[in-house]
Amino acid sequence: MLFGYHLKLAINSFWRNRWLTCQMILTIAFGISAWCATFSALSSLSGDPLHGRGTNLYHPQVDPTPASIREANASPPSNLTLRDARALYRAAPQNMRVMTSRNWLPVVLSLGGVNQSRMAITRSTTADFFKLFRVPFLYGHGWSDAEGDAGQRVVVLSKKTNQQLFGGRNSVGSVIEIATKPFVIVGVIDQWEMIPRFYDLSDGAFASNEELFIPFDTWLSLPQDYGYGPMVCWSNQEADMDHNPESDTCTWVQLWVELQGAGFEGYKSFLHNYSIDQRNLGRYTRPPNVRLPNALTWIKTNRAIPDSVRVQYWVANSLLLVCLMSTAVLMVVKFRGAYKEFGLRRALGASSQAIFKQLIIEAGLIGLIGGIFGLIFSFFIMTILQRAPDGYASYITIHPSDLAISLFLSIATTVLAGVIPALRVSLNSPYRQLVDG
Amino acid sequence: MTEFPLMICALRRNKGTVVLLVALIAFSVAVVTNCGFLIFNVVTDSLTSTGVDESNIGIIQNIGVIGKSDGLPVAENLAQLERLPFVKATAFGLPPLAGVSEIEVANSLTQPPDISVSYFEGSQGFQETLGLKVIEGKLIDANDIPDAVTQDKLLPILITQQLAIRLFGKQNCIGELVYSESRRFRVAGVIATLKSTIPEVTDLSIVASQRFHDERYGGIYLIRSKPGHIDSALALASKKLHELNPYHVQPLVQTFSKFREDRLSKRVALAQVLALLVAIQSVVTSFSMGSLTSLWVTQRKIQIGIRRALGSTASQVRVYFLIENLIIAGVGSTFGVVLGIVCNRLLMQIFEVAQIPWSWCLFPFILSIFVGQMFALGPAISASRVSPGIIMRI
Repeated sequence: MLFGYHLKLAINSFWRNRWLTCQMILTIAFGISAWCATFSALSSLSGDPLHGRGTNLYHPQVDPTPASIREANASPPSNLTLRDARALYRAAPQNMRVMTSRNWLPVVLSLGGVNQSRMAITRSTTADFFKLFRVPFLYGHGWSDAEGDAGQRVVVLSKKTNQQLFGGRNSVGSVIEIATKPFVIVGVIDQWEMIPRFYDLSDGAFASNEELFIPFDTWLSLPQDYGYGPMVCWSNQEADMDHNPESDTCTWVQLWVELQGAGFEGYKSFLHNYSIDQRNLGRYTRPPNVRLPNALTWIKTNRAIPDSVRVQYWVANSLLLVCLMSTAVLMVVKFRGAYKEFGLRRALGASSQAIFKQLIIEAGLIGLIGGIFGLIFSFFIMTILQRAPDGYASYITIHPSDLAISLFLSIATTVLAGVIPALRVSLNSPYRQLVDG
Repeated sequence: MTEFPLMICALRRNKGTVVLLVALIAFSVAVVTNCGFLIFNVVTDSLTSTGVDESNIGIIQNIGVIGKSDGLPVAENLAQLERLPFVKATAFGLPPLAGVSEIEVANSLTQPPDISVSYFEGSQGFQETLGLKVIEGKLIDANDIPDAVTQDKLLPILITQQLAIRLFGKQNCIGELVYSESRRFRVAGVIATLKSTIPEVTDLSIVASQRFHDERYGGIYLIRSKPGHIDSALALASKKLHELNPYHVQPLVQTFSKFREDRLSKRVALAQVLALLVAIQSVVTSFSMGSLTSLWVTQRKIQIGIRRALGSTASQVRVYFLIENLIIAGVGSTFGVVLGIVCNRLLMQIFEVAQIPWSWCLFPFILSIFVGQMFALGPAISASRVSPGIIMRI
């Protein structure tokens, strides 16, 4: 077998140039390890958080801003005013949809018999939230549309909050005090995380998880001054700028609608017509300016992946490129050292292709061994990345597919880096090689 | 320098490899320029003091719960906290690195207020709690601090040295008036520095105080402890504040040092990862450079022998290889610096990165040349040891 023969020659040559070979293997290993770890981090955080349903979930945006104030901004605000959100929510009862926002509210805990308040991260949402995002329940269930609309004081706890307040037991039916009002617990969700948390990027896609879930209207009617999520206001009137959730000049509500197939076009033209109606009513001053991105587009345009993760990935790419260029330099050195051998083989009848093939196999073998070491090192780099004091750090990990991609990349790129040095050697005249070597 | 044409000739014979090496160095230098600048900024940010007595300041966030009792007035809380052991001063207001606003001011009424400054404001005791020290004039007199409710007042302020020069062209500006769109200020003293987080105006700062009485606000209380007692003082203050305002919530109780560390921690973590990657890259590049120089020495043993036989000294041979390396590293680094700057300007449009000044590029440039020389030294020495007798064995 010719391949076996080339492999044997390659191994012999490694043995003869132990130091150089080790240097090349380590160089590739370094490059691949950093690439593999940062690529894994990036791919752990990217992808469809809804596992294939991300393309069916849409984020309607309409533009109530006057042209005079936001001339420079061509895209509509990220969120909706309460009035628009309610109108759009009511208009599509046949679709699953969610109206939601987030803030923190004081919740009373009883620690050692003493009542003490602490702030808890609260999500206000309409009933479909749990079904739409497939939230698993440990105890109980969510609330119904009717309960939500009636503004009933019911609450769903996160697993961690239930652990903290009730020691993890089934707390459904118990009452807790939130923002001075009694709430009945109707459900406790199991461990659940949306990565990235695309449905509300206001505090970052990897901010702390929600601790309480409260029906949207109930939440809105609470005595509170703890903010209403990502509120953005515009107005010349001071009174309208008072961060009033009911204000027509403040956007803060996030709306998500599930649309299947052809529903998209219909819904978009509905948004368009809605904008025209609002303009006719005098609420909007601009021509219709609507957007309907799906969850995946939303994640991309809002740059949900932290910049630090992307920066690390790009620096690792450049490190890999430097390592490959270094390997190419080292290959030049190594192949040059074996001129006599190549000259002799050519003189004895080996074709230049045979020499080229042998060198490429050598390069591939270095890529393979370097790649394997790289994969081992990448776990070490991953532990460093996981130490980042940021919400995303606990979600990044190396998947088997990342390892496979990295190993393939290692072999392919090392072979590529070896092509020019190998061509130079194999095309050289055997006479010169014998004399110069 | 008679060897210069010789060197060029030798390098031209190995064009392909030389180009590869120059590209490798250029690319490495470009990455080091960008990552190094980011790391440098993080290191300087974590070392630069904000100008306040950081190690003795504590922060307590105290939020009221709507619908429950409002708690004590701010002035009463402050007075009670001040009586605690270990506590030297207290104030109600936001610390540097957190709440600071940007306002526009001018030095006369006839000028439009167009100088952006960082504006810090707190209650009575604010300047003492921050531990500010004046270098000109004096701290704001307690009797001069106007009530928070007073309208159209002349607020006494402290300004930083840099702002004094910016506004009045001199440091001595005590008693001068400063105007913003809606307020008037009188300079009581000049402090050396007070850094804010607002870029561009980071050290152009104004500190103002207003006196609180019966206002019942939720917000941030600052305490300054006697040196070395911040932990005990903070624990006592948090407990006291809770006793005084049982229905309030304290989401944040932290020393200023920890607060500062937390704010920087994400950037520090990124800088550490980048430092690791850049270090690996530099080592890899340096070793390939060393290996290639070593190969060139081996290849040219005969030529070296001839030159030695014709009268070149060992040190001349050594210098020859070092200069050859200097040329390659110099050309590579020059390209690298240009590439680095171009990358920086492009990255500025995608990420929030600062503009790299040309002067900064001297660092990666010199570093690269220095490392190149270090790694060429070994092969150059071995070249200088080539015996002239080698030509007898051709």
